[in-house]
Amino acid sequence: MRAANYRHLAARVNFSRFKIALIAKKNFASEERIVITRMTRVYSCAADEQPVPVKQQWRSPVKPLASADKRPVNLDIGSMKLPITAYVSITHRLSGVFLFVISGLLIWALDMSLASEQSFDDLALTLSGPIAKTLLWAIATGLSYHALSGVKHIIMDFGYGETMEGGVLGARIVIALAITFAIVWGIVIW
Amino acid sequence: MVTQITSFSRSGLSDWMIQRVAGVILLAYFGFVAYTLLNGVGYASWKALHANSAMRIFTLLAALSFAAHAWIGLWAVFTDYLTERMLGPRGNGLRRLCQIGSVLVLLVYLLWVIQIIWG
Repeated sequence: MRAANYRHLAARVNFSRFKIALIAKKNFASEERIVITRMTRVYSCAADEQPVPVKQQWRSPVKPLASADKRPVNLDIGSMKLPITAYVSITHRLSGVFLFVISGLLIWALDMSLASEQSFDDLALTLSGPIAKTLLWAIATGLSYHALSGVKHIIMDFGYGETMEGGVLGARIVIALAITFAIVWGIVIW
Repeated sequence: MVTQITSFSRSGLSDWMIQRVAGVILLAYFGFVAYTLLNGVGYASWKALHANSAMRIFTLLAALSFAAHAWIGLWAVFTDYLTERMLGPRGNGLRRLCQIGSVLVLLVYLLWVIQIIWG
């Protein structure tokens, strides 16, 4: 395969958007092959072939959830019992997305609180309703949880608690503190 | 190699650092605001606090940190779950839509905060 064709294939690999490595490998002087690897699977095409669109040729090593592919799955995460650290991690993400969605309300509240004395009083009245109080509690709890697990992230970045035991302990501390915060916010709000 | 064009700083290491620095700034800001609110505020004292230049800068710093922190965090979430493997070929389009949409929302939030603080 000529150099121009390598570029052609590389462009198609980029277009496919999979995180794969493209390695141009020279086996023999006469037989040049393009080798695409991901995990344990290797795909290649011979030197004299026209490069096929990789988007169609390349298949994920793990069964795509949204395809009719019946081949076995290498790693089916749904079949495993996840450790507590995994739940703390996914909850950190969920609370982060929740805070992003809800942040518009917080900015609106800041706007209302500063616009005029009238709007400040209106906001205070709105926030005294039961639904607003529940939402306020959810925001405060979500924010404290996200902050606590975020602090755990930074502590682990400094090299503390990176073992499995340390991770489990850290996750338990985060959950315990988050529950404490949730109760305290409940007392403060009601 | 896939070139990442939707990450915040085009560099994973830089994203990692910005994420953490922004997180600490947000922790300080929300900690301070919670402390202030728990001590009780009226309109006059709340207005006076936000008229202070130091507080305006702190709020803007928190808004900038929020935009960067959320951009990086949402990027991680979108590129993990809204993918071709999870959702089929439509995952790519959906992910790009979510990324562009969330970045636009973050920019609007940022401009909104600037307008509130200095408007």
